[in-house]
Formats: sequence, C-alpha cells, structure tokens
Amino acid sequence: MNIQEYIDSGVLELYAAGGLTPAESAEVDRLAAQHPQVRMALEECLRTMEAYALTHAKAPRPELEDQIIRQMEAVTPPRKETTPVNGRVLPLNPSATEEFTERSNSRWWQMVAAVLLVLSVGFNVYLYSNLRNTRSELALARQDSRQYALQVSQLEQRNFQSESLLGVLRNPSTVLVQLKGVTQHPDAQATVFWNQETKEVYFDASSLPKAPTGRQYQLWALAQGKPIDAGVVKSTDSTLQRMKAIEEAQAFAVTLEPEGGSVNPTLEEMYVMGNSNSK
Amino acid sequence: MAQLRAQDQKAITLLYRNYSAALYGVILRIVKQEEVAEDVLQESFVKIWSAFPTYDEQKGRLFTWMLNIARNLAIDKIRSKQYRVSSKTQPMENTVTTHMVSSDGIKPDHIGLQEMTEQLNPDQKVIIDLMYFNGFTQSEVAEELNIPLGTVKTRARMAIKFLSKLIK
Repeated sequence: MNIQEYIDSGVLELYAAGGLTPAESAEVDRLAAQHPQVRMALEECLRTMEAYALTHAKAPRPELEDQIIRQMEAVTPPRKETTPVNGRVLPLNPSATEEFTERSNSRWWQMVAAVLLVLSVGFNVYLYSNLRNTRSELALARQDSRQYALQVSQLEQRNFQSESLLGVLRNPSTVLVQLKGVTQHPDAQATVFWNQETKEVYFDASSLPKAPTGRQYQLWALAQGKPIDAGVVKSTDSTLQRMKAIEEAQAFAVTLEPEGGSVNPTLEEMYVMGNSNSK
Repeated sequence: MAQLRAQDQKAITLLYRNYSAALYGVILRIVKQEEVAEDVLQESFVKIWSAFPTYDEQKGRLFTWMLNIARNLAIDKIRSKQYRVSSKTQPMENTVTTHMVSSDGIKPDHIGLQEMTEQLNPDQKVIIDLMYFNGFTQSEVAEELNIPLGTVKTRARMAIKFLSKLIK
C-alpha cells in the first residue's frame, strides 16, 4: 500500500471527524501503529478537530460543578488495582490464620497504597502537563485569531485610506501643494491635497519629524497675507488626514504649536511652507 | 487513604475545571437543549472518571478520548426514543438545513476562532458537522447529501486541512 496515497485519501480526516465505522477505525489505528507517517498525519487531524471542538466551548452553569464533582467522587476510584476481589475465601480454621491474614492484609494495603500514590501522582503530573498543553494551544489559537482579526482590520483601514487617497488624487480639481522645509528644518517635507472645487484639504505629514509630546503640528492656509487655521495634525504617520475646508489660499504652512493648536501661528516654529499656485 | 482521596479530588476538580466548557459546548451543540446537555455532561464526566484506567496514552490523545466519550453519549441521547419524543415539538432540529445555517444560537466563548471557522466552505463544513455532531458515518453522509462517497472523503480532507491552517 502506498502510504502517502493512504494519507491523502481523506480517511484520516474521516477518522478524526468520527465518520468511520468501528471496523474502519480499527484499520486506521492499525496502520497508524505501523507507520509513523500515518500516525503523525492522524495526530494533526485529531488536534485540528480538538481545536474545532474548542471553538464551540461554553461554560456550563457554575452550580453544576459541585454536583458533577460529587458524582465523580462517588464512583469507584479509577484504578484497576483497587477492584475488590470477589468471592472471598473463608479460612477453614479462623483462629490459626487470623494473625497471618491480618499481617499480610496490612502489608497488602501498604502496597496498594504505595501503588495508588505513585499512580495518582503520575496521573496528576500527566493531567497537569496535558492541561498546560491544552491551555497553551488554546492561548495560541486565541492569539492567532486576534492577530488575524487585527491584521484584517489594519488592511481594511489601509485599503480604505489608499482608496480615499486615490480618489482625492484622481480628482482633476485637486491640486498638490508640496510644502518644503524652511531654513531651520531643511529635511522636513509635507504635502497638501487641495480640492479647489469642494475646498476639501487633505494633509500628508509623513515626512515631518515626530512632534514632541505636548505639541502638535498645525496647518495654515495663507490667504491675502492672513493665516487661516486649517486644523491640527493628529499624527505624523503615513495616513492621509482630512483637514478643515479652505476657500482660498495662496500658500500653506505648518507650524509646531501647543497641543490643541493656536489661534495665530507661531512663526518662529514654522517647519514647512509651499505656494499653492492658486488660480 | 485520606491523602489519596484528596489527590483524587484534586484530579477530579482539575478535570472538571479544564474540560467542562469544552465538553459542554460540544454536547450542547449535539443535543441542543441545555437541560439535556447538563445531564449528558454529568454522565460524561462520571464515565470519563470511571473509565480512566482503560485510557491508553499510547493509543490516543486524552482530550480526543474525552471528547469522544462526551460525543458518543450525546449522540446516543439524540438517537434515543425518549429524546425523539421530547423534541418532536421542535421539528427540523437535526436536519441538514439547520447545519447549513452557521449560527445555531450557541454563543461560543471564543468568538474569534468561531468566526474564523465560518470561513470554511459550507459544503465542506456540513460534512464535518454531520459526522462530528450528528454521528453520521461517511456513507450516511453520502446518502443524506446525495453525493458520492469519494466526494465526502475529499471534502472532509479539505475542511480539516483548512481548519488546521486556521489554528496554526
């Protein structure tokens, strides 16, 4: 039999999902025991179905915990060794065997107790490691899904941004105003997209240095020599920010102002400026 | 012996605390009614605990083993006569159509992953769900959906491959 073909056939997945008859399942068990490759592929399927089952997890009512735990405690301790021996043999001569039985009994109990202790500790260790695995698997799965969701929303946001940017750029009435760094800040740069029909202003601050804490950049339109507030710049990342609508401007400039912006520009703190070639 | 009993108690509590939500969610998904699900949950834990000596680590994963016990008891329940009579008032309960609809009123604790599994192709998902939550065998699935057995296999494989990528 070709092992890879067997793995690819889908039978392991059927096994994991519970779609095989007992006889078919036994065949899978047999092959998994024989071929490590099969066993690994099967484990993968089982782990996946465990995770799928976990996606349905729902905590039962808290009141159930005590009740169910009591029920579990009431059943025979789960150890083969403790199964009571049925059909006790009665001694023919009680007085003669009494002492012997007592002693061997207590020794027997000691042994049982020791075995039980070892088993119990082993079981606890096993459960604990299993629990840790399950927990870390769950945590990983949760983290993954969170990251995934975050990535999707980031991508969506980015996509939305680039789409709106494209819309602004494609519009024939949009003029692009390059703001160049003034003498004190030769490396600073920014771009204003100004739709002269709708008067909308978009600002791209990506080439401005990060504003120090407690300060914000503010965009100004200069019309007839007077500065008009076009709004404060919220962040200097690559996002395109919509500013206040500007009716008329011969130039745009950016100054660094206290947080929240100022009524009049602090001219000593001007970073960039550019003419808008307004028609 | 008192010490052993205390150890047992710890193990039982550990088992319950860590697996009850997982098992209960699956059981509820199968039997649909909370009261029935609670009964089956109790039965499952009692069975898991008393069958623990028969669990063979070499033969399979503990969580899978526990899930199978719970699933089997829950599926037995929906197949029992008593249950069928009591749920007659809720027709369409376990038909394929309800499985095609992704939301079945159960609010999972892990919404993110649950949502992700909704990306699974419905044709593939229904096959996994019929087997896992309704106890159908591959041939029963083929019959129910009126598709060839080979298709059942392929779709089951694709579904689990997809899920496995999601959880990685």
